[in-house]
Amino acid sequence: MRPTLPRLVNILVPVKRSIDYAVKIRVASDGKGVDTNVKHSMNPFDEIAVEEAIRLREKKTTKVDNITAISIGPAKAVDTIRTALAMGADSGIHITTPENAVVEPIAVANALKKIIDDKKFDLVIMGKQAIDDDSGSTGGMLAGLLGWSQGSFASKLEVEDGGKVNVTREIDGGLEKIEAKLPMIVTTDLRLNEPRYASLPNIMKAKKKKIETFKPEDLGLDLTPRFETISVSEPPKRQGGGKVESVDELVSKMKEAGVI
Amino acid sequence: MSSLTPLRPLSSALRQSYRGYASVLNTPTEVAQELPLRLQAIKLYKELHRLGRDYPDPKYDFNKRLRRAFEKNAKVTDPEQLKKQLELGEHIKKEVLALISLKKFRHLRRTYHANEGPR
Repeated sequence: MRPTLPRLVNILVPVKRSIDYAVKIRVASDGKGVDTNVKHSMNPFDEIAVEEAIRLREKKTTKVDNITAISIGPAKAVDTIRTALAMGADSGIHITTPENAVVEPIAVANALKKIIDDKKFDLVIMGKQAIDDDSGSTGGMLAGLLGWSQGSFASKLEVEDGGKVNVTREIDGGLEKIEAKLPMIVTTDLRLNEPRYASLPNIMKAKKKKIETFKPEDLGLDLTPRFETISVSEPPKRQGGGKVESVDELVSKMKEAGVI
Repeated sequence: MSSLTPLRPLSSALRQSYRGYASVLNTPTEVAQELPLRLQAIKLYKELHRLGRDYPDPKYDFNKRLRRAFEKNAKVTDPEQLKKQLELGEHIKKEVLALISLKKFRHLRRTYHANEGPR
């Protein structure tokens, strides 16, 4: 029997330029969105995804050929791709969208499908959700569009030579282990790994790595949103509490409120 | 956290509370041995300054303390002393990195895994 040739795994890591986790979100002045004139950085779950791709390559339990970071966003999304390159990705792809344009998960999934069909990837590792919109749907949509298996909320990922994948998923009440074969979509959860910090020398080295830029029209993509956000508002402000002098007063106040 | 001055190594008790982030502290230092000491110091300063932007405690004046720490050693000429200070600087860099990573991790855990016990 002829031995099977070792597969070279091509990994695609979609990364999103989202509002930085430490920013206090404010509703925008028109009441139809949030203030986006704030610090942005790579979505933390996407950082975990980039880190996992690099660790897969370092572990050598499977032969990783190439790690490509891709982002669909405005001009500044290039910085996010450069951060992924500084962490260790090999090349980048940037699909440009107009400044302040809304790109919905379905649009992202369609764009990723086009790139995957054109350039042939075996494994897509992405964050489970973006911390600014928290939709958490892109991974599932992409798996559906491609007809690929998916391992979402992964807290452990093992890829063996030959394409067999073991994913440990974080679910309500515990952990679930699934076995699947490449090609596959994996979405990362918090405990998968601790992402490395992109140090200054690595950032300098990353400037030499190539980033391909595309416009949606070049790929035959229509990224216009299907939804219109009508209004965004803050939750009601917390009413101040009152102090009581004694336990009896506390009990009487609770009786007044109908709690006891 | 505001009581921590990252100019002294962390106590082992505090270090244990970092759990998985101890791996960050134990990674081997990649000090560029070929560079002259002055350039090593400049490189370290730039890296610490960059990290200071993400330092978790907004009330802690990172840049001022960084400047003071480097100014204190400006007159030192003994190469052994300088090497020790640079090693201390590298160690502090790792601690600051651990603090930054930990703050982010805790925020994400509070936001997305608030109701879970330890696994």
